[in-house]
Amino acid sequence: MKTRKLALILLFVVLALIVTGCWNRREMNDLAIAIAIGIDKSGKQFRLSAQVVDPGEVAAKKGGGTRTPVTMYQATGNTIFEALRKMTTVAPRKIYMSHVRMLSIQEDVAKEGIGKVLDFMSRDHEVRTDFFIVIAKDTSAANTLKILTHLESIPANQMFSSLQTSEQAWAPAVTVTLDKLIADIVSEGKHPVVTGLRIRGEQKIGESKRNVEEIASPAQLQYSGLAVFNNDKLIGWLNEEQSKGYNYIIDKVKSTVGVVACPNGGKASIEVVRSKTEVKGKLMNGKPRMDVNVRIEANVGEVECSMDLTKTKTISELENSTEKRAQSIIKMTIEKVQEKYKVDIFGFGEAISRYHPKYWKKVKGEWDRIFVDLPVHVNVDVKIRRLGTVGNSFLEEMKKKE
Amino acid sequence: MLENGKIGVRQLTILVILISIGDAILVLPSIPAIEAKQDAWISVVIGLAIGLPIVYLLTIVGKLYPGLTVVEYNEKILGTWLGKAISLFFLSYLFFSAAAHLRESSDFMITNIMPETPIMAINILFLGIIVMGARLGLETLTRTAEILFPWFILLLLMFILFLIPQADIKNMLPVLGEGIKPVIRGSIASAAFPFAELVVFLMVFPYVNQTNRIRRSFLLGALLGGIVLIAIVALSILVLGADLVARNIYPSFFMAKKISIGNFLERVEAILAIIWFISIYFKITLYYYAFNLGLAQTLKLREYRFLTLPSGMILLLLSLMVAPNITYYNEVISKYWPNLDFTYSILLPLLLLGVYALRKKFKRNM
Amino acid sequence: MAQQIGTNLQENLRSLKEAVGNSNDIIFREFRTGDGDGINAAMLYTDGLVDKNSVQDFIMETLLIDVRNIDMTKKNIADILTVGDMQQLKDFDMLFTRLFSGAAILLLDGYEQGFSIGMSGIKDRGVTESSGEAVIRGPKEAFSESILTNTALIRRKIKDPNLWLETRQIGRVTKTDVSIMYINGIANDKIVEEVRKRIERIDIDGILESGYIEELIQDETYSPFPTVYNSERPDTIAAELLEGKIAIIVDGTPHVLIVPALFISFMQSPEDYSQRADISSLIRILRFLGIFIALLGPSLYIAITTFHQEMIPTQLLISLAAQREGIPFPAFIEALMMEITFEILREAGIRMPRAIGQAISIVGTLVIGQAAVEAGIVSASMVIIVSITAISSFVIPSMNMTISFRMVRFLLMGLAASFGLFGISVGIVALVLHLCSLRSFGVPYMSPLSPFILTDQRDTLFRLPHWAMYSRPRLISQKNVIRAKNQPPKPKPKNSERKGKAR
Repeated sequence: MKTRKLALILLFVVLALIVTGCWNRREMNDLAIAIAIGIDKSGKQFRLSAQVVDPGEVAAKKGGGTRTPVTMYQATGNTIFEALRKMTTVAPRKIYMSHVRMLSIQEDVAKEGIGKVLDFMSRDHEVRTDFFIVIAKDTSAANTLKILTHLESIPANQMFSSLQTSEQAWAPAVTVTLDKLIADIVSEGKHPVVTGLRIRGEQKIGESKRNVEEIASPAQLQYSGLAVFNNDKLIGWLNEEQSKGYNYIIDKVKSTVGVVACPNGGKASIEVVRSKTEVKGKLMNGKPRMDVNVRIEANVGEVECSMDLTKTKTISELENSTEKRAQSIIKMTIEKVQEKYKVDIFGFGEAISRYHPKYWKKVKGEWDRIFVDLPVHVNVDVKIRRLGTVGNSFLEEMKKKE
Repeated sequence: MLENGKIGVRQLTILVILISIGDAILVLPSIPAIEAKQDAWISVVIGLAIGLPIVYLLTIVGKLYPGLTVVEYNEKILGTWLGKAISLFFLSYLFFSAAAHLRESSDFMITNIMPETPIMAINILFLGIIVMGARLGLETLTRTAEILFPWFILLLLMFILFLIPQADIKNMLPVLGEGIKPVIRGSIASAAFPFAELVVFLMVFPYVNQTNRIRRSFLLGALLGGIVLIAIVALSILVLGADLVARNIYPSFFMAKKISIGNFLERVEAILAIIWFISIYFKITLYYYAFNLGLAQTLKLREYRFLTLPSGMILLLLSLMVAPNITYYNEVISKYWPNLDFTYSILLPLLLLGVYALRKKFKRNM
Repeated sequence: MAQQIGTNLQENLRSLKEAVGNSNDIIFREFRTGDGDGINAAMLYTDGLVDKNSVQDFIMETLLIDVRNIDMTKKNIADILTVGDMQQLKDFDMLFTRLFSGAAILLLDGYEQGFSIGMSGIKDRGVTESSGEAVIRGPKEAFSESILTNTALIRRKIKDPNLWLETRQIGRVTKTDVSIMYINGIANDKIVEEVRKRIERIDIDGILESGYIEELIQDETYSPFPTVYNSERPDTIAAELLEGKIAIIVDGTPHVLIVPALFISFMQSPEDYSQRADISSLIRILRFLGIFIALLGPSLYIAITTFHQEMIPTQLLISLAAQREGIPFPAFIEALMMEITFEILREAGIRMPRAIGQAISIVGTLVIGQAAVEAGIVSASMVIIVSITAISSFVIPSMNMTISFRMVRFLLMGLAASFGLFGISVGIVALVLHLCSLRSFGVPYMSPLSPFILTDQRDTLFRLPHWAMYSRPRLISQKNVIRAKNQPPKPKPKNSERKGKAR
């Protein structure tokens, strides 16, 4: 009895050992680690580009080799999945998608709708949802994956961290992950936006090693503006200031810099260190109305004019002008979207649906039409806390001397 | 006696918690969310409210004959032949449940973790420890549960804590925006999977040490299990939003993928999958064990262990045949399975209680 | 039935000589003793086993000189000889056992019995420092090969009449002394009875080490895990006896067995009790971490790098992948090769003469490790994993358990290589199932973790201060569980303060 049990266990082990080497086992050096994916149109088909890491080159112990740290494979297919598998005709290894950091989608693809692209991404078990999605503006997605970068030898890592830092410290960019994008597309009370990516400089040089041999890279990747979507179709762009306004409304601003006019002429920069936005939907006489309340905590970052910062009155004046500035940015953004794009990218519909579900049920089919004329009250409250390491600017002293 | 082991009441509680969480932790969030959207967590609360009386009913039946399993007192109450027939129906329900859960867990593995591995290989390996657990008996199985339980709780707490930063209360609003009806519809599955399926414990009660404390620890276990499920469902709605929860087949796994603490503690879902692995393992094994034990008792055999290997093989095949594809499986599970659960957890106990009362009355009148 | 000792001395001597085949290490000394002509007598002893000087001084001198005027046929021999340990012998079996245990045998003509006189002078290694279970703080002495020395070492620690010793000879040929030692009133009678029964059941020709006994009395043969504990430290044995366990002492080996053995006792070192409680608790946690790494290190590495690459941070994955570029073997084979190489080195290190053993094993590991990496046969990360695993496995205080875990590790590696983390989970559940199904003399192996016993947690994963550990393990000593009624120490107010006030 006991021996039989033992024999059975041993049999299992032997079987397990024999079957090793098939099924899901992949050695690390059999992976083509895709780090960024680009999707372009090619006639009626998709052209898929994958930026794949060359581990030997990235992890090289001494200095760089002669090869680029990443390579790119391309394939075209009727669907994304088909193109991906077709890629094995050029790539020596199977493309491994779990470590994708960036998905770059060409503007033209986005104009026709990104829904088709995203289904594969959300269905495949290998693809995670923590990568960022950007729209390649005025260029092809493949081109954006070809630019070599300094500091981060893997371009996709550069794109990833650059987007993250600019969202945190500058504000007119949003990090959009797959699940958030899908949620926005399906939501009845919100339309998605995606950050745009463009190439500044010469594409040709950017693709060669020369780009990282010079101190000032001739070609660089730059985030600019937000793409506005109607459901999954791109319909237009917000400029930098509007993008910032957008981020204020959806409460994504962590830190940014705002330039305001001094009371006596000249400029001052205000560093926003904390910002909290509350969007409330109200019903007045059966009509919806939005209240956007922004509370900002800021420091004085730079003073290029003469004012006496030792007086509380100056501070409150500065607070006032900052408030006005922020308010105008936000208002202008909303008006622009209402007039030009006529889609609710701010999630006002969602806000309404949360607090007035009955009303929402009635109007959700025609929300975008209501949105166009939706009255929005923007209320900004700025508190300036600190002045940095100096009190009055030395510019003040300079002026006195004159 | 076919089973010589004895388990304590605390061990019973642990087993009840694990089994009520069972596979529900994996599939439950999406089933009520399809009906009740962001109010799915209310569905589960109502499910708990429906479930606890069912669990109470089970303890009443369990007390009729303290030393006997349901299969044994079936024959005492309903007469030998009718009793045996009902027992066989009950056992086949246990067996099908085990097969369905086995299929569910291997489907999960294949979809999310190992898509190219044949389902047969995964099932054989899993079945290996299921059969092993059933052969070693209730006492060993419960002790194993006792050892793994702290790890289970630890991982569960990690899971919940790591996700709290991502929770967004807005996802839960509006409360009851669609009215109460979809919430009630969603609560049927939430009552059936965790709580009605505890009917398997009718096969375990006679082996618990302190008979008088069974009810308390059984209810406690179901309550704690229910609270965990409420927390998981609420959390998945808070983190993912009702739409994603409803659309995902395994929302809690999807949620685990989103864990990201300070850029280093991320991508840990494969570790957290151990939570589901443990709870599903104990659920299947207890069902399977109860089936073998019950079959041996119905057929008046002296041993149940020799049944385990052949029935294991049948279980393997059944788990492959139980559904042709995953859509079929999900449809059957959410629509028809609760009926089966309720049949055995409500109708059977009521039948037994009714006939028992009638018999008593009849005897007294004689 | 054994041959009885007859009244005729010559006949007895003849059959004795026949029985031992005239072996010349058995000394036969024939002489006459008593008044007048005296009676014929013979003295037998095994050369080397008895203390010759004592035989000379206390037996031969008495019998040849002091008793010249005494009628030996009337006087009781026990009243004459100035020796302490003296037994009457009825049959030859008994005679031989005593003879070969180092007693001198006196046979007298006309007597129906012989006399064995304990004169043992076996050369003993002496009490030396423990080599297998070293501690920094705590007693250093270890058992030796002589059972009498060993029992004495324990007696010296527990001075209580209730420390009972039962000795019997086991082994058809070797007739080895095997003693059961326990504290009456603390040890569980049922377990004592069970130990007695199992030891009596033993029928074997020879017992040369306690390992023989261990395999003959353990509950489960087909298990990698030991269900009998052994130690060569008297303090460990004394501590276990105080917990109500039973020691089995075998002559000829310094390794004393302890039953029932629990999984948890293999994780505890005697030093835990001499170090401060908080430190020992932390060290115990460290040990569990060590087990965890020793058991799962290579298998987790295999599972994650060949099945779940998505779990590895991108940067790390790239550098791991770069290390693996050009390595021809799958990670599993790589790990297997390195693990087996290590096991060979370890085994060789033990068997080699002590002077070169350690040096060679270190050099071997370094050279093989480094050269293998540079030759591109294994990756550097694999060498790291294997060495961490190897070092971790040695934090387990008990060598038995270390070996068990090392064995199980290979199974887990196989499962990890074919099923990834799923395989490891299956393996761990199977392992825990197996551990939970084990019993040692009726006591569940995994207790007090499972079944969980709250009062025993004072000395399980943690060690509370000694004043808090006032109860014995519940399942082992079932009748006398309270050790003492110690209170936490209440220090008096500081001396300096009081002095200060007085001034």
